[in-house]
Amino acid sequence: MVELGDPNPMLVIDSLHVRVQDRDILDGLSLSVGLGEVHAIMGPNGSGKSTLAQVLAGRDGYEVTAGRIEFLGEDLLALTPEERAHAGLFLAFQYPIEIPGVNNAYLLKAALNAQRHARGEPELDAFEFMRVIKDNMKLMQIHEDFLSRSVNTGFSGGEKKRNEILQMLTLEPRLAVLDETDSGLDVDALKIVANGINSLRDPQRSMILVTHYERLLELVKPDHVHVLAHGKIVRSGDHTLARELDERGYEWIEQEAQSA
Amino acid sequence: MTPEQLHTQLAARIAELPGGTTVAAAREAAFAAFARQGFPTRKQEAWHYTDLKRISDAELDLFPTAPDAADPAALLRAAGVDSDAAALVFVDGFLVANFAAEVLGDGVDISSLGESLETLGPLVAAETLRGQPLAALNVAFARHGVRIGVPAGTEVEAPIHLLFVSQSARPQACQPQIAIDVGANARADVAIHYAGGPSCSGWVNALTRIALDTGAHLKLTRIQDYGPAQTHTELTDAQLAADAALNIMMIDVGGALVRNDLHVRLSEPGANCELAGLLLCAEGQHVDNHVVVDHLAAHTTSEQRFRSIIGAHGRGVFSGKVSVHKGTRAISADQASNNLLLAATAEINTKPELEIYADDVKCSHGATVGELDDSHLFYLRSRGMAEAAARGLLTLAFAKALFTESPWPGIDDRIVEKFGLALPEDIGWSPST
Ligand SMILES: Nc1ncnc2c1ncn2[C@@H]1O[C@H](COP(=O)(O)OP(=O)(O)OP(=O)(O)O)[C@@H](O)[C@H]1O
Ligand SMILES: [Mg+2]
Repeated sequence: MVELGDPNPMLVIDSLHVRVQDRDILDGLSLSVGLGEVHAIMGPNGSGKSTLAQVLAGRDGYEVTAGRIEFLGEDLLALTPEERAHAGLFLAFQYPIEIPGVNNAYLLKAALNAQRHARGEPELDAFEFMRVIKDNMKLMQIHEDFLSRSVNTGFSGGEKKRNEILQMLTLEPRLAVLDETDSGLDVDALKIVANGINSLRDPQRSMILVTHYERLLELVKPDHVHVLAHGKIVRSGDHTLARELDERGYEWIEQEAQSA
Repeated sequence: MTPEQLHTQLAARIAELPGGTTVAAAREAAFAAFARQGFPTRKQEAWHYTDLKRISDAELDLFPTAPDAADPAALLRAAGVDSDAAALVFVDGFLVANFAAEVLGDGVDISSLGESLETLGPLVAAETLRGQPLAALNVAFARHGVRIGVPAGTEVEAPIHLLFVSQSARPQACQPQIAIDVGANARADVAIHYAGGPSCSGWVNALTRIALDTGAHLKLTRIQDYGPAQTHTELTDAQLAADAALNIMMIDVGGALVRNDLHVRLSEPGANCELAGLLLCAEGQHVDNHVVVDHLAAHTTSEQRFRSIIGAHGRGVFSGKVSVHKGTRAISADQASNNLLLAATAEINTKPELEIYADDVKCSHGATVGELDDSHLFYLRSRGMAEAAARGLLTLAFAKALFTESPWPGIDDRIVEKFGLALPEDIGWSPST
């Protein structure tokens, strides 16, 4: 695992403390993700997994009271949400937001071009854009009708999740944080989503998968598995830890952590 | 202007007004109705938020002068109307171009107000003017306007555009009158545009009287796009017979002080109206939409969907009243008022009012007042969109949620200009298509 100052890290979180509405949610969380690595974060409901994801993406209202986050050597917390996206961070939301009146394809194209613009790359016209997303839509088995609908509006739970992955495939981030993208998916949709995620695996790209289920981790094999409880990582291991958690639950780890 | 002063103007020049002696008698009667009530004041509940002092205290000429010159083609272009549309163009009240006959042929009767008053007599019944002093004033002074008569069974596909432009900077008041009569099972599509330049600070007091016969269908788009100094008041009064359907979209962009009264009477079973409005209000503007729907018969339905976007120091008002009369049943009435405030100094007063004197009524109403949704903004920004562009896009989307198809080509640009919105770099793709 990488440390602060590592010559080649993707993400280094050092002793992060986060307060939400006068409650301390994250309490000294540290985590390092190297280039090309896939990390899974598991943990009981309410332990702070989505809080971590939102803080990484820069959501207002989450107060970082102590700690640092470095993303590709930059101070992540100093960046606006859009600058984080431009730098290559992507968050797939646990609950994707419905935005009536904003066309799905329009959002995708505007987002892609905003990012290309920020990186000094030429913007894509409508024709080039369609070529880019056509394959991605096929991979995610999203019908073309969805492009002309309002963002996530009236989409089923599973459709929203596949739409998040479509966005990820189109934006090609350096670090993808997927917050329970597998929750609420049927078996076939889970495979589709896993295929989408795997298609993006690359030695230069890293992923953090927040999940409650070992099922996803059988399809997308993580390099590391962490347990988040009481606001920090209380245990880390390889993919076999996920199976153990699936069988034994979290109580034993929380007890060990408390007595430690 | 006191009623006495106004009557002096009327008496001196009543012979110049069209319609002969019968209409002259109706003018005097209407004026008397106005004089009895006077200009509305804020003491009246229906005018609680809107002060007409800038009109009642002004010295205005109720007999506008004819324009020296007018370029109807350019005016239509500026109003976003196609050059080959069935259009009538009025400047300072005066009809300067009529392209409707050649486009529509003989199927539709489109006559100037003057001609119609001569042949048909008064177009507005006295009872329509009850409690409407400004409409009564219009009837007293009405000189220009149009009557559209669609014979029974006729379907007029091409939209008929009526463009009323304020051009003169003189302190004058226009009283345009529009009468739309759609016969049994006939269909028509009418767009009324009000526009004017930045130096126009006069008053337009319009009256639109609509009668839909059994099974008739009217789509009415009404766009107000004045410069920043205009005062505009209007009454749109519609009466619907059995199974008639009225679909109205009203858009308010400009004006200093604007008051729109919309009164729909669903008089016979099966009548249905869908009323929608978009109100845009920025610094120094006051725009008031006042809607009343009367359910007078069984199986009548109404829907009101009004949205406003208010910028810094803008002031909007919406009051929507639904009145379900005694002895009716199987009524359905929905009302929604959604308001987006773009600044702390933006103001909206929204008031639903239900008067229900029957059972078996399905009524819903909801009002929202707020800023852009934080979670929407964050989602767009997390995808890389700049904050200003995300705000621009969401503001536009808020307005567009009213439309299934764009009601007017100018709408996006007006919203963007009016509130100085930024949009994502490539606005080539329309967010709602
Ligand atoms: N905006 C907020 N306002 C108030 N409390 C919040 C807010 N966001 C998170 N919390 C609280 O912080 C705690 C952690 O929430 P978080 O969503 O991060 O948990 P999680 O680990 O993602 O849970 P789950 O597995 O159920 O998704 C919870 O107790 C939650 O109620
Ligand atoms: Mg969560």
